[in-house]
Amino acid sequence: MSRQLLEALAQVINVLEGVAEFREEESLEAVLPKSVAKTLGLNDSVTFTTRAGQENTDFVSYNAEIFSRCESLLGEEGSLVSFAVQYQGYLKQSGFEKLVTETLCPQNGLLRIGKATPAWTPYCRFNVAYTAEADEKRLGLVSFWLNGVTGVSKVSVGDALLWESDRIPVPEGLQLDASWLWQIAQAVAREESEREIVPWCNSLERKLNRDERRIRDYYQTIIEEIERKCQKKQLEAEALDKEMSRIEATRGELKRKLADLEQRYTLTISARIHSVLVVWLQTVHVECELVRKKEKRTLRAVYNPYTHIIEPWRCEATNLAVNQFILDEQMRILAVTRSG
Amino acid sequence: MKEHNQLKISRSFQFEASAVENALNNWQLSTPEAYEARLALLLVSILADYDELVSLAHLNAIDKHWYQLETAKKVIKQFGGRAILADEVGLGKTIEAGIICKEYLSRGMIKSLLVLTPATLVSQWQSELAEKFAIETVSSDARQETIEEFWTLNDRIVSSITVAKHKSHWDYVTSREWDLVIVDEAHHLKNRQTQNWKLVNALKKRFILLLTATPVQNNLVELYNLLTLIKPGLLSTEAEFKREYVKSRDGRVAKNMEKLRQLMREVMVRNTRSGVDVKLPKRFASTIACQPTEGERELYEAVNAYLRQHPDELDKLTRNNLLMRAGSSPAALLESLKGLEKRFEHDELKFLSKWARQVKESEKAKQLLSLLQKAKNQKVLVFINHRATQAYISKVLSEAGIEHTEFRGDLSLKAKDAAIERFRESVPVMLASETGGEGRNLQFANTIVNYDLPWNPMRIEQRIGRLHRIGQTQDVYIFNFCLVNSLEEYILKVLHEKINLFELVVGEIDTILGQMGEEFDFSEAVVSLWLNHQSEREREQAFEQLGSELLVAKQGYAQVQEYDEQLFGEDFET
Repeated sequence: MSRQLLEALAQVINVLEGVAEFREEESLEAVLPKSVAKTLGLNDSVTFTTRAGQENTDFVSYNAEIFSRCESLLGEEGSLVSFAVQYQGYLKQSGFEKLVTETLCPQNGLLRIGKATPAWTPYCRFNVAYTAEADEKRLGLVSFWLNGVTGVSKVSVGDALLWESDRIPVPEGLQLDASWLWQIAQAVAREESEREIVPWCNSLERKLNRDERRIRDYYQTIIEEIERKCQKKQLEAEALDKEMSRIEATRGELKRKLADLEQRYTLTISARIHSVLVVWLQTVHVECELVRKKEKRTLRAVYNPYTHIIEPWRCEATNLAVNQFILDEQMRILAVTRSG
Repeated sequence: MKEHNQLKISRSFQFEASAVENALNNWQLSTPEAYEARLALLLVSILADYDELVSLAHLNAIDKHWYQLETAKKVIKQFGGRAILADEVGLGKTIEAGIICKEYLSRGMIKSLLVLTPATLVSQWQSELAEKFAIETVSSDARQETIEEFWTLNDRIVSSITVAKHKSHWDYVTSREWDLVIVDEAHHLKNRQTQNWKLVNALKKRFILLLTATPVQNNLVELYNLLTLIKPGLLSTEAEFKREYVKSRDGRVAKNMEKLRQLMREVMVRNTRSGVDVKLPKRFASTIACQPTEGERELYEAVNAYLRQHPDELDKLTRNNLLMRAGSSPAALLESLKGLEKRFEHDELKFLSKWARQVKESEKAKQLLSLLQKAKNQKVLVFINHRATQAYISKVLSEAGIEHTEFRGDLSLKAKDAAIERFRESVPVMLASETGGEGRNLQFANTIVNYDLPWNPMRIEQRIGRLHRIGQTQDVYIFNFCLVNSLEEYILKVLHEKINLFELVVGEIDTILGQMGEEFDFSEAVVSLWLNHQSEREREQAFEQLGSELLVAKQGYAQVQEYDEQLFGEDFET
């Protein structure tokens, strides 16, 4: 697994127009361009190793400074990449009626099927880095695919990326709705990163409740003791007022402690879309018309030849993938469960 | 008691500005190589922070539960690799230790490893590390080199603590450096005057994991002793510790508990079943004692008489094997007798072989058949130890038209997969050898038949654990077969009726047997009781006595468990 470190270095060096080659499993030889070597504080010719104590080599571990320097050298390079994939099989253009109507079912309207034509569909892979912080800090990465036509997330591209030889430059004139996709991607990214830390959140919640109970019990005992003292000694007037103000002060202290506690267990998550890969696949777009009462709406259904499915549509309120759905007054698609 | 509403943690979420948005809007493309490089750097930075376990992708042979992964991260990231893993029984402390060990190995942070366990667990640790974590070790059980070579030339060792502390080993174990030391059943280190404690204290170690479900058994000084091994000085001197944290004279009642807990939180993880929300369905066990036919009974008795006549000539393994096979089936017994005929010139062997050939009917098989015919729509896993018995049962089932599949250790990987697939998809019964489905997902079945009962209770537990684990949604039924008046029947009386083994949490029997003393071996104990007592009355008495001792051990364990629960509660969860 230490190879993972050296492979990351090799990838960066190659992008920066250096040369990097593995000499053995734990050792990578590199020739760096002068400017890169200078920024990294290394010689032009260098051997990286993950085995400690080797002479004339640079030791690399997960925490090595070189990785953050490489990150600065890369800058924004690698943020967005795109290519198309040539489909090698036959792309049928008819006989979709049954498949579409069995897959996409409006519960309170009609679906009319129109023409089917081959068309490029962008599939975007969003990589999102997040940092979650409460009593400790955690870093993480979530990745997901998003269909650029339907806006449905967590779709599959099947084996489209299996053969590198099928990859071609993006054909002229293709465009995607970046700001629309960005909005959806942010919503999905939030959901996915929150989902990843659910066990940690549950654990924080248990700790919060445990500590809260303990603090409350502690101060409650003090208050009860003071009250008992008042009763036992049958305090009156000034003496009683003094004890009452002690109780008040204890209550104030409890309130402060609880606020501190809540603060300590407050979870802040910050996320950043780290990179996006846009893969254009040759698919079939089937024209569809949704009809409810007198309203009509035209939409495209996407047939993906790599997964052999008509892709679901998106619930426009929750971003969930839907096959059965209802239409609201504005002809928006909504998940059935949402309506119930 | 006043009820409080459960508090929720408040959380906030924000997106940071990203250069990607700009690149996407303006369609500024990079090369795929730059994209891959960028992603690779991000992964390194996440892994560097131990927020991800680099070994995770390679751990395919275990069910990974979130709390185990959280524990591993916590021990590595927050505790610096020195910790007490004190999860309640059954939550997988061994797995947690294995993950931590694998993670350190994967990151190149450790080279040498020493696992110290009670003698009875050496082979289990060795095989678990190999099978579940691909960590090969050598063990003190199979030492072939000289003592010096053993301790100096090997880097990864599993040893019984009894061997390691022996004076002939001591200097070698303690003079070298260890990157990671794991001590299982670490409550054996509770007393600072013992050689166990002194050995672990004397080891030169970088990381250390102490595994025990019951860190404190009698008094708080035991906790002091354990914590001192992990972080010497954390609790100052013993006298200071007592002054600060011990209230009662017997050392059982603590004071300044919150302060003590705070300190312990730096070194101890204790997941509880309620805390990690592990809910398992119920288990129901029943014994099916089969009245043997006259022929079966006489054959079984004759085998026992033969064993008593030659007590010293047969080694333990041969003796136990013969007795187990006699309880399994005449076919299995015959195989064993043939082997013995080649080794010994005992007249009785020929006679026994002839007899075994003549016994054609098996009462256990009949009962199994009737059980399977009743168990409609259930997936039944039948454990059979001996291949000859398995072949015989397979024939009986086929003749009765009961579809089944067979799983044996000697099948190829592909054939094993196919057998399990068939069991999952189409047939109601799988006949499995001891290793049946180890590490495989069999939760779709909910009935276990122990056609041959292992004499080792931990084996029984492992079998149950194949089905009764997280992910099982149905109640689990266990049927234990035995012949009336056989050794297995007596074992069942002790395990089922006395200590209720079949309804214990997986892992508890380990701890209960541990209370019987370090050297106690259940299988050995029962077989020697069986052979040394001939009349039914004598046997009843002897096994009753054993059962009572186990019951006392179980009660002792329950008390310790209660005490620990009171001391630690759910405060040390991950």
